[in-house]
Amino acid sequence: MSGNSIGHTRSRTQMFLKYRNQARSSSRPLGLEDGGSKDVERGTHRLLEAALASTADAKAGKGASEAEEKVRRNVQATLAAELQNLSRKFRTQQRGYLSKLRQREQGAAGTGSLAVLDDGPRLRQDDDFDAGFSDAQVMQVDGMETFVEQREGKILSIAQSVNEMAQVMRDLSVLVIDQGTLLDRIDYNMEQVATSVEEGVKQLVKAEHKQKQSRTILCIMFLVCAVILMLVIVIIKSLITL
Amino acid sequence: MATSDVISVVRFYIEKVLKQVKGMKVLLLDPETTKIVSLVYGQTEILKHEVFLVERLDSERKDQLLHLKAVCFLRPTRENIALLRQELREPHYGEYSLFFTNRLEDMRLQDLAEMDIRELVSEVHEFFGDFSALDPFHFCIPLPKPHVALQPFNFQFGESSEALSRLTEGIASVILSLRRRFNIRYQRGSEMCQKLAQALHHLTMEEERALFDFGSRAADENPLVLILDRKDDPVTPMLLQWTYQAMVHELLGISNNLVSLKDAPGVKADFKEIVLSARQDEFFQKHMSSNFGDFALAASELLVEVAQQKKGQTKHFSSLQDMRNFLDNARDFSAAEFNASKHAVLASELQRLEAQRSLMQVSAVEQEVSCSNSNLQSHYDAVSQLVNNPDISDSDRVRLVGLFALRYEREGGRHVESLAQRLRALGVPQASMNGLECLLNFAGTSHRVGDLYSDRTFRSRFVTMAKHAAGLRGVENVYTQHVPLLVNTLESLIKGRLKEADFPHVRSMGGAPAKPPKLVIVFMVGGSTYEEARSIAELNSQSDRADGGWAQGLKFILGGTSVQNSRTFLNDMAEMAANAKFH
Repeated sequence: MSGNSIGHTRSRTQMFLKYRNQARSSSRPLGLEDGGSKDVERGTHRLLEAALASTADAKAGKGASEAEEKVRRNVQATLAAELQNLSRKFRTQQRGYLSKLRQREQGAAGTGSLAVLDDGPRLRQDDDFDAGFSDAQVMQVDGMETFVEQREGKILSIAQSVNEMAQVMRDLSVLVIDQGTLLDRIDYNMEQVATSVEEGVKQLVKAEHKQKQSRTILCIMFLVCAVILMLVIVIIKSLITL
Repeated sequence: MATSDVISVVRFYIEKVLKQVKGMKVLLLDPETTKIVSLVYGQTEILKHEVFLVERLDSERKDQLLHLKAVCFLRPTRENIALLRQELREPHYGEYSLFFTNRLEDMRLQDLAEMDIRELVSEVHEFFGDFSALDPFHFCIPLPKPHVALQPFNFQFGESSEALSRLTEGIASVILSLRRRFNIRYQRGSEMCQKLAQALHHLTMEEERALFDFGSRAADENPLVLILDRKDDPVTPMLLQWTYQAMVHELLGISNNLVSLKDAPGVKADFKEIVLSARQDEFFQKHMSSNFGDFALAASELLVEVAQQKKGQTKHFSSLQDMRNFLDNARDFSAAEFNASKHAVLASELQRLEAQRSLMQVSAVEQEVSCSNSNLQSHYDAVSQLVNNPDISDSDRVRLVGLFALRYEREGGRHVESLAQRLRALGVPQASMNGLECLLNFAGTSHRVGDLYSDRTFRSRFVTMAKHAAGLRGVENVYTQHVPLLVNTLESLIKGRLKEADFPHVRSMGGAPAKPPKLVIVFMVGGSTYEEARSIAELNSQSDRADGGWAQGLKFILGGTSVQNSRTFLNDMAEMAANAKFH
């Protein structure tokens, strides 16, 4: 008996095991072929084959059997969904962390490394409107130029990675199924397989029919040949006796 | 009291099954359990439990996937046992865990055990989820031929017996899943109801008394299973409906929470078949009982809202913030957009059908004939007018005549006959006419126990008259004035007015319980309707409120052999008529 507050269940395992042991010990004829060791061998063989086949196919990108194909697609869908969720979580956490850092830095000197992400360094309001630059100012300008170049490079790489990620997200969204839609229905997904199986059965029936037909024709041909052969033999016999 | 929500219970069972077996799994189902599982569990959810393949036990499976563990969730039928034996003889998977939705006979268990020489089966359980949970308080025990539940046993004895045992097992599993001992009452005059009640009593009190024993409680406090016959209220399934879920079922048909729009013109491929389930659809959960005008408006508002949100999401990124927003919200918006479009498409198709068949006109007359005061001549004129109207479809004509015939069976015999003649003249198929005849022969006044038109007892006639006189019949909506007989029956039950003679208890000893039950499972043999399901849902929501009225603190669950709309009900009647010819 179950200890649930709702949803009663009952275990039949004990009774099942009892019957199973009884069956083995009473050694009733069960209509099975020879013993277990060959099965074990066969089983492990198949297991190894299956494992090797699936890894090989994964590399070759081929679909092995239909069922394995389904399994692979389902695994992909689960992983894709997990990946999406995790990346969303990561991004929100990262954003939170960055904003906290920024707050801290602004609270301090205000010239932290993350000031880079803000609207650029503010030029100090200088009183001198000299035509030329002093040495210190030239160095400053150089520094700023390299700084701007670096920043440009960083922005470009950010834009690129964002584009890449958008593409990945788009690819993922194709794999992931929206909850509550028709594609999320277990029976709908099973039906797709069933209809193709039905088609296969139809084809088999057709093929069998054709084969039967060809078999009949073969019989007829054979009989006709046999008749002709008999006739020939009779004729030859009568010729010989003449 | 634990939650008596049938969807939660079935989900509980499935989750328990999937959590109990660890590792990569394949789920093996049969045609019935496929429905049971699909109704309450999604593909994405099942994937989270590492179920990477779902197959039918009866399908041709050639591939061996020995690295997968097979979890079998099956009905304990002879066919399934035979298929399992076959499977164990030539296994496709590495390990097998068996979960049956109902009791498995010892003999069959033994058959299985004998075949398991390779010892692939690690466990066998009975998880009593042997019914289709459609909505939280609405379930169905599907029969291969639903009309069998309506007709006398001697028409098709074999099928009727099978139906009886399926229903007994099904209701028993609902009882077991709720873990309570139930009292049983049934409707007099219905063969199937009586047999079902007695079979259920025998099973729970005698044959498997220990299994159904959930602690001793006074019989007084037990909840109740009330078994009713659809034929006692043939009016409810025949009426046109104007609340969302019921309307969709009446005009389009809902099957296992799926709606097919493949015959509807101008519908995109994406929406040819749609899911209509409150479980994962917030809009539907909110509006499944809303009136036509309300939900159509809400659907269009939702679509506008989603479109606006989408516009705020430009694909042209002018800043990092824009890009971030897009990446974060793209998926959510596409899902919301899809859902809003789905409801908009559905609402517009309903609107198209309403206009095409002049359903408001038809419904007004239907409600008049079925609910308002008796007025033979004026109702006859209204019905004739519509029957003679060329814009009205045959099915609507047949329904109108049927409703009129049920109301004026005694006083309006000649009127009914003239309407029937008119139908025949218009070329209505004979099968439909036979169905109508069957309706009167089996669901006519003489067969009914309940007070369908509130005119049986002096009390009910007086009450209706009083309501009418005082104008208390402030009907907000002419089209939804009908109240299913079920509601009145339940009110009488709770107030202790349900006569023992009409609705007897099945019990081994003792008198009638003094207190009304706090939980009632109503099982409608012959099919429930979404209108009744809506009424039950309303009563349940009333029960939580302080001003709940007579339903305060009570919970009701509705079940049936199918969910009827006018088409399926009249089809069942026609089938019955065809069988009646031989008896």
